[in-house]
Amino acid sequence: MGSALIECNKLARWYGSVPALTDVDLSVPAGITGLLGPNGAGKSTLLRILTGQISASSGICRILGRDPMRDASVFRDLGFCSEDDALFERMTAREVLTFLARLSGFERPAAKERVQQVLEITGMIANADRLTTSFSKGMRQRTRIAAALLHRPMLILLDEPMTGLDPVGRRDVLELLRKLAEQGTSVLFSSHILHEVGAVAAHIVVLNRGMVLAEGSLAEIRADLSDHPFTLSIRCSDARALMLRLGALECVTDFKIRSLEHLDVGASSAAKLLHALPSIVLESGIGVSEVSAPGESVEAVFQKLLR
Amino acid sequence: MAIHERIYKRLDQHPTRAATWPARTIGRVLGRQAMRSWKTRLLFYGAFAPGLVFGLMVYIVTRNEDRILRLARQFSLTEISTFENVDAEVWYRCGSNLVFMLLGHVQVWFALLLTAVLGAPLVAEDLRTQAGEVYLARPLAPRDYVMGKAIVIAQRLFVVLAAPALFVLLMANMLIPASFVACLSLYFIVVVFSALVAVSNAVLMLGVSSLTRSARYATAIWFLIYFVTWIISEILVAATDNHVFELCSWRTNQHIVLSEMLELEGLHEAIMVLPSIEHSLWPSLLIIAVTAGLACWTVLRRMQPRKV
Repeated sequence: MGSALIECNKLARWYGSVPALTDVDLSVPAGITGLLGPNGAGKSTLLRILTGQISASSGICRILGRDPMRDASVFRDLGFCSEDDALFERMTAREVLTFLARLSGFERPAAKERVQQVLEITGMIANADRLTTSFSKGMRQRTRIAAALLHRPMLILLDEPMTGLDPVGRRDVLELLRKLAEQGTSVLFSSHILHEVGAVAAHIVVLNRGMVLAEGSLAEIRADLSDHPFTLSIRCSDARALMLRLGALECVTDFKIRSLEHLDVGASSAAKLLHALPSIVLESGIGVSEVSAPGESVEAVFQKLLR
Repeated sequence: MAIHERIYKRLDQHPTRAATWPARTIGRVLGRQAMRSWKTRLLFYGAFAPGLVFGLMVYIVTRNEDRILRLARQFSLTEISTFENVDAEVWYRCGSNLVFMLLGHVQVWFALLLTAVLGAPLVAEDLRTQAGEVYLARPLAPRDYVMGKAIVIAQRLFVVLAAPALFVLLMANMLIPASFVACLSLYFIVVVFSALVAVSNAVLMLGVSSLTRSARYATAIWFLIYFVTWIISEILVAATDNHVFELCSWRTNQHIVLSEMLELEGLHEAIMVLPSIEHSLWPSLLIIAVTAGLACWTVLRRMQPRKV
């Protein structure tokens, strides 16, 4: 807990009688953390509380060891890009960024230099001197991400950063997050698109209906779910023979023969099936070319957690 | 570190590494942005025209003093004899005060328009575009935001109010060097009154701007506050013959402050050409301060994190 960048203890927030967050206990380590949850899960509310934009109804939240509601200095080490399409109008991207750099404490020459750097990083250099009102949603999003990076923060919070970006833009942002993590900047980003989180996040927090359903690495979350129903897809030399062997296992619930060489095995416990499978394959002498768990992608884990 | 930064740091216990005073940065950048509009530029630079006209009038009057008095006698203006009998110092002071009062009345109209043009979008646009959170995701407190925005308006209003008056006053003193000592206090009054109107208008306009997400509505509310309170107070005064109701008007309070600072009561006794003033300075100052304080509180409430 001591090394955690963000710590929340029994954090709750209601909008009138509607609970947006309920007793959220959270500890976010350094590195890339993905905040995963469907729309209305409470992701934006959590990020807004973490950045002091709204107050919590109860509970304690510390970001970089400070209370964001009371200590504005936390924003010297924290970058935030909200979900809202908030940007100054009647200014060019360069002017917006220079202004924000100055507000973050940069002297004028340093601000200009840094703005040039972040414009290059976010691929906005060609459009830097255009008014933000003429920008597409993707360009606005890039500008806002650039604003979050400006002051070289220790931690960056991004609320739905891929919204409005085309596939190339999404890939670029994911690549940027990886680069930032390599350079020692920690990132917490929210998304409801599962493969985005699975692609880069070392630590995942799954949120639904204002509650944390699971927290940890994808592997840890998967391990927690090992006793849940599970489907394994096996490509082998003789699907029928393998089915007969696996049928003797208690945990196996159903089979689906896709072809003579392709078998889907349903099990009540993933752990038991995965433990027994290697010995059965070795004993039977059936050649296995591929074992995959289509149901074990981050999407499937998420669906299981939601159930 | 510059002196103002040191003071700011000490007063505010602002975090270290503050290379700039955030309020000043906001004021400078947004002010420059506001002046890009030709309408704002026209209004701002147009506000110096009365100063030039008054300067020209002062020049003509001082160069043709004898001829003007002769003309006045010819047309049998009753109070002319009074002018001739007053002490030169009182005459200089009264004359300068009168000129500044007239110029002040003209400049206040420019200040009214400029406040609306500069100030209406300042908070309203941020609320519409949700840019407030862009500010609040920086290391600055909500009061920095309010101060920065107020600087955008107040800085320009101060220039528009003070510069023409100081120009006319300086010109009068140069043309009649003997009047300099008599008019010395007027320099101070010009600066203080200009600062008071600039700051109070700026803060009130920010409060108005924070009530809506539309700059147009903010402009409408600003003019409503200015004119409706004025008209209502005049109607109430006429109906009840009680001058206390004059204090209900933002405009009248500013005029009372100006008149009181210029000691027009004394002017009335000396040259008897102006109506006497019914109020003292302090109630009007108090009303202006309380209204500005309420406006400031409104903006802070709108910008600060929403409490449950």
